[in-house]
Amino acid sequence: MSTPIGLNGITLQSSQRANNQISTVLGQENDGIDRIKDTLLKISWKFIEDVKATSSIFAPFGWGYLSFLSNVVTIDGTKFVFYDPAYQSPPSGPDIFPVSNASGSSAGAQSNLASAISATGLVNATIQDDQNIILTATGYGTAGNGISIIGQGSVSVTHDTAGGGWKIQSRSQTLLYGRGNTDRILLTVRSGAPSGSTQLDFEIDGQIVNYRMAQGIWELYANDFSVYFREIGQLVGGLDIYRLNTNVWGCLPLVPDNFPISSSAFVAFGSGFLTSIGQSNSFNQVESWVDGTRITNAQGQGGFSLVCYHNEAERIFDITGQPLLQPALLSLFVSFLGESRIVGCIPDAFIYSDYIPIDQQVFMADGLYYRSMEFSNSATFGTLFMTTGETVGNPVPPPPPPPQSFTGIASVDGANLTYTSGDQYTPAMDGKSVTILFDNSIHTIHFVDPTHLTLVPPGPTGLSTSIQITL
Amino acid sequence: MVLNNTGYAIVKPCAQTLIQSAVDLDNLIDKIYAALIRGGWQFNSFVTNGRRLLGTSPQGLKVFLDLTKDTPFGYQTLCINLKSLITGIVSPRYVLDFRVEYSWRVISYPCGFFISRPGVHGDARGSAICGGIPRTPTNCSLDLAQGVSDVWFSFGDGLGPGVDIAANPRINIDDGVKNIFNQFGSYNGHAAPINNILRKDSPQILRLSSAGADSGTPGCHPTLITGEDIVYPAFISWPNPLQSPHIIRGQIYNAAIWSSSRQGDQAANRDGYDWISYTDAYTWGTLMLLTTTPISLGNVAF
Repeated sequence: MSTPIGLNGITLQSSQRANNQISTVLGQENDGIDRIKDTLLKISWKFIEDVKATSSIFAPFGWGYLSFLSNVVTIDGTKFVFYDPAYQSPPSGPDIFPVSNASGSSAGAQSNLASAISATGLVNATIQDDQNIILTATGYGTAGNGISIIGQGSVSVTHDTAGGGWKIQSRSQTLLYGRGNTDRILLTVRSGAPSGSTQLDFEIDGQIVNYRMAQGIWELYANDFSVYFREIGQLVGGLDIYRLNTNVWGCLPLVPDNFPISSSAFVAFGSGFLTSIGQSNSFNQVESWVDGTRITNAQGQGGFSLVCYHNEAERIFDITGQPLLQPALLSLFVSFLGESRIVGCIPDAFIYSDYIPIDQQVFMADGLYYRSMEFSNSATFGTLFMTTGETVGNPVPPPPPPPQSFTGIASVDGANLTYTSGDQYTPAMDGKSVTILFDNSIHTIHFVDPTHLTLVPPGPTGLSTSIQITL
Repeated sequence: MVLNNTGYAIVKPCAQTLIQSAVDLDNLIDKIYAALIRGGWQFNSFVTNGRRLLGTSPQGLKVFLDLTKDTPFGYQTLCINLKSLITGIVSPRYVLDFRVEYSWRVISYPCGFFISRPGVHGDARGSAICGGIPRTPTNCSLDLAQGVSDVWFSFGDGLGPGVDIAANPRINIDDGVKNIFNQFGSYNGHAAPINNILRKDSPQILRLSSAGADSGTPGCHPTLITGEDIVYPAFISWPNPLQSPHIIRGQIYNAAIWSSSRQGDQAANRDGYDWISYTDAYTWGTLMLLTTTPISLGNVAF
């Protein structure tokens, strides 16, 4: 009999669970952010770059007031104090950094202040305009968060550095499995503003979905193509496998390569009790992409949902009274068809035709251990189980080693790729694939020498970009 | 075991009979009787106002079919009942309205039958009746079907003049968008309960579709983005007692569900088999029936 083409579920065996390990509690957010990064890098996600923490100060800082010493800002305990060398000696003291303000103009004072701040090496100060100076921490990722900034001007505010974190990217299925979904999730995890919150930015097809995590303890489930966050203690009942609450889930469905789309993804989330989306959105939401077209908040039969044996009143059991196990087919709204259709399936998951309380049962199927992630206890009873990488009793087979990859920076000019930094090239790369991360385009490599490759088809022209070569 | 790659349940012979017309009700009854015999049903005995046939599945399960003439609505009409050999449980009395100008399609095999009027979606006076013995699972994901001695199902659309048609596979495959009362099943001598309020509590063929709750304008069909159907077994299920889980009682022979919405009476070929759509224009899928005896005998449902 015909079967759903390639949709019977692929077990990636790459899943990881970080239970009780992700803290977003005030004062612990840096550790939580680092753990998220470390968990994802353990699987196959790619480190892209660190994200620098920032702050800002703005006028008036004191320039133009030449007749007295003026402490304009205190950064990490260091006071930056204006003085006029024509009339005053440089102020001194263990925590005082004198800033000459001899020009008599606001622009000059601002420039001198920015230079003085940058000279400390703690943050780099950049003049944004005549009213504002942007401070960017020099510390790596989360290390730049929480630098105390105390404004001393008449309208300056206290605003510690925040926003430092990490940018990590999932794999593309094309590189890993030769399947039909070329999308990646580019995830930025960083401290939020004001400091004390943790922010997740899911970037898909160049579009960003922000999610601010509540302060609390979260758990994280992830595999090659999916990352799922859920706050412990907020595991309320009544969740739906077609509409999600109190959590956030970014996923790239497995798309068979004979499907007429090249990419698909979704980010599903809800406000729950304590989180917020952007400024004030308090509604459950699903953002989905099919072939680059984004659809906002289409849920249920006409939008995001899982497909399974359906009954709106009762569970469906087999003749022995046991629930059914079914592939986790994913249906998303497809704009060019004007309705929701099956675009693929959730990796490392299946649907169980009864509801199991969230996170409370480990279930074994196909030799792997699964955990209940979402359930519906009303119309269409069911539970979505996903692998977690956990071992209970018999050990789970170890995940296959990820393909060896090389990364670096290169200049790309059509068919010619020239080494800039990172891993140099080897003859073993001949015939392999390179991904140009600028546009996620994939090209076949021909080795020329350790610093030169040629690309088929040609890449963009005149571009300096990060690249990833998979052997 | 993740549910996948389920197979067809095949029984031979499989016969499609087109009854272009009948001169009177007795003539129609004779022609339908002949069509059932052609599909492998066996004459069993004469009963009041008609004849009793015996259906036998490849697994040895049996059911009686009484083909009679009666006046349930004050006028003479063709009636069909199924009856358990074990306990004597009898299905509702299904009716087919007779007019000289009507034509009929009968698809039959040794343990099942599907009657409809080509081009007709439904008729409160009776236009569609189906039923039979499903294949009970024996050796795969729906395992351990131990001790099954009696299992059969039946549907019909006619509830009588002035009444809306009843839910049946001609117009829907699962919960029904119409009246209940007429969906029936028997399992080991126990009749499927009938819930007058919750349609989804009555015997039905399972549908694969969005987990989202039904809405008036669903905006989707459970098909692949390519437009291709998902083809899956026609599982028949019902709860017992009411408001308990739907239990899959078996798989309808010589049938499959194609997940797209199709017009009824459309012929198709798939996997080397000749099919025709029995369900007419249901959003969530179509019951497809074999119309000819397959060359190769499948019976690989589980």
